[in-house]
Amino acid sequence: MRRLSTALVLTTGVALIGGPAALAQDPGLTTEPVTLVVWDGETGDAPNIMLDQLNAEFTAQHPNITVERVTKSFEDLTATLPLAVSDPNPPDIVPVNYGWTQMGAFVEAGHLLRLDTYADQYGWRDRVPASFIKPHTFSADGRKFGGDSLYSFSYAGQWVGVYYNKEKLAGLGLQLPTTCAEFEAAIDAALEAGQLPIQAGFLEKWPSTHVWEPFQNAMVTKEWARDFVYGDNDATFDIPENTEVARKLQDLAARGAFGADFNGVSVDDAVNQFTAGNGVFFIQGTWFSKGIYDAMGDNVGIFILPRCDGGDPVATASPGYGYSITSRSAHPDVAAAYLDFITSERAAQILVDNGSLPAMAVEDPGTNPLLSDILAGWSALSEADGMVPFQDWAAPPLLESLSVAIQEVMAGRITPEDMVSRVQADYAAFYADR
Amino acid sequence: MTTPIGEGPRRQIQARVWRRTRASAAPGEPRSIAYLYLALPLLLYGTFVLLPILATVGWSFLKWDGVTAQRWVGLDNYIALVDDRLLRVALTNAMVLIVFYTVLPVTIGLLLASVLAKVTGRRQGAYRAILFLPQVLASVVVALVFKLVYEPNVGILNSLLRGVGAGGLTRPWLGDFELALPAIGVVGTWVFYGLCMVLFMAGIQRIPSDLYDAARVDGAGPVGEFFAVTLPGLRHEITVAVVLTTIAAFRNFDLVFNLTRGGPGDSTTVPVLEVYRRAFLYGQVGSASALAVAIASMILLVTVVVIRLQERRA
Repeated sequence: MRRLSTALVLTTGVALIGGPAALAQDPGLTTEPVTLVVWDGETGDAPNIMLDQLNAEFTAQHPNITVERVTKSFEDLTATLPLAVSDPNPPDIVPVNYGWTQMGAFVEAGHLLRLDTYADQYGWRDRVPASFIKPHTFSADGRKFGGDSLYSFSYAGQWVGVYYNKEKLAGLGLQLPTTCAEFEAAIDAALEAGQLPIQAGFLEKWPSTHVWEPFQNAMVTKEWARDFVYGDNDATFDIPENTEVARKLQDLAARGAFGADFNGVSVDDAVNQFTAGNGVFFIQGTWFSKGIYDAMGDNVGIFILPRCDGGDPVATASPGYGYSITSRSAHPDVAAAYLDFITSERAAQILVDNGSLPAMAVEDPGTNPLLSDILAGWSALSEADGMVPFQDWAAPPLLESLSVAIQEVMAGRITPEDMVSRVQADYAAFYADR
Repeated sequence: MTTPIGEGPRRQIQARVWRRTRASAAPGEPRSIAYLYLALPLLLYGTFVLLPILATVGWSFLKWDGVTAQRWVGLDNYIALVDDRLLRVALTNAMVLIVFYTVLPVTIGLLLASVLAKVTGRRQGAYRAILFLPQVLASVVVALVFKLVYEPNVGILNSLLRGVGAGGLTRPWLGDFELALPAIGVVGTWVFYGLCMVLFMAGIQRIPSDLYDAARVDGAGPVGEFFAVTLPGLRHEITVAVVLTTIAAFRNFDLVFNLTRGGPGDSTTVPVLEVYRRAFLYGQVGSASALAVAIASMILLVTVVVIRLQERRA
């Protein structure tokens, strides 16, 4: 793998101020004093460590540049970002949510800088798979998600998979499921043994969508999953496969595969329950991996739910925070150089060394089996072109609409047919209103 | 009649003051300096209360995502509210919450107030302080506490039920489609009964004690006393309590947001939660504003009706 070998050039030990590769790429930046104001949403863990470290290295390389880091919580960003980017004197770099509510609106209003020239200059598109790039794009008029213009870039990756308790699975006399039938057989085996098959917590509602997604990715085609989100080829939600997914989840819930209380358990409490040994599986994103690994150590792994047709792996996967340069930034070239620096191989290495999944493929440090699974899953998805976007990106009301519909169908309050037609109605209403 | 000493010079001073102001205002009119004193509070009130209200009303006629160009759509946002399925659910939920936010706290408050009125001295103050405590806590703190109470696996309520051998009654309280709304309602009752109680205790102190004496002479027991004297005497306080708690029930956001996010499904969604979602998550500032204006109008209407009813009976 080419990406892997280039990553090897910059191995962990390169703590010297400024990697040689990074310096070589900077095309004659200004030597005037510049202050870059950079907003981020990294309140903890690996990305936070990485940004602090790289900020110090970047400013040491460029003594005329000061990086003013402003960290805000996700909720805070949601509320303040629209005002900040509209300001005549906006921050230079901001984390922008993928999809319509933020990126689409900001692009349409002309608040974000097109990054394609910088992407070509620094070779960003060569670092990651095309399906990783696509969420960062819009049409230049902001009317088409997944368009021909790049508006942000990211250093981190995440995917949604099935965590499993190794001892519990072995205790049931089972191997890691390699087909979708084997996964369902494992659920039945756990039920028969009087164990909770799948730990889940839907109290915050959104966690339900990440239980839905793996089952969906096992059934629908990845082309459909992308078309639906990016609004291509007149994709609609009411396809037979989705009704099947809804029926399967309804059936599993009725048989107690998720326990009786999952709607009333917060997702953090579900994590605690799972790590305490309650549940053979736990279906969620890799963003929970640090806490899970800290609690379970080598006893936990994660896998991509196999497709029911035996095809190549497909999983919901996305970049982490996507960083944009504001169009009124006084120093776009410096901002781009900085953006390049924090999305570089060096950044990837710091992330993986701190137990987090970087966007770029890196060598597995081999110290943490869960992280090894996460890295292996990421590269399997890269190789098979198996990354599909979060379903709720398709339209702003869909996160709510989808999670409500999933909860209701799993509680047996609506039929699978009603579930898909309700989501489709909200999706269609969004497009009709545009 | 003799003129008191000193009257003359005082009149002269008075006359001089009038003369000085006569040019701009009639005698007795407030002097213009008064407006200067009012300027700062008016400026603050205007900037932080009136302007946002006016802006919200203005936005409610727009199709606007808060970022890109605005488009005038007249009453479309309001018309769309009429047959919005989710809003009907939210409004029905708000009505249910009124039972828990208004009816129950007023009832419990009346009961506690009439009992505590009989307790005298320092003990009354202590009881009052303890019972009033929930009202003082920040709602986020209340939500966190009740999350611990309602948590299905290790929560206090289910643990208690299991502890007394009633494990069959345990529920995922906030995740049960039928029970989540009452579960949130109970929190509202817990928060607001203290406010009602304190209001009513103050009211009871205002009721002349000879009314109680008269009732007792006529042979009324504690219950008769309550209905014949206390309840009619607290008419004003009850109106205030009903208005305050109804407003709180309609405006409920923090408890629902922190406890259930409106779930499971739509079962605990409330109107203000929908305002938040539209404004901040869906990029529908126009629709959110229309809904906010509608909620405010509804609260105003309910308040006027409650006050009118009370005045007519008075």
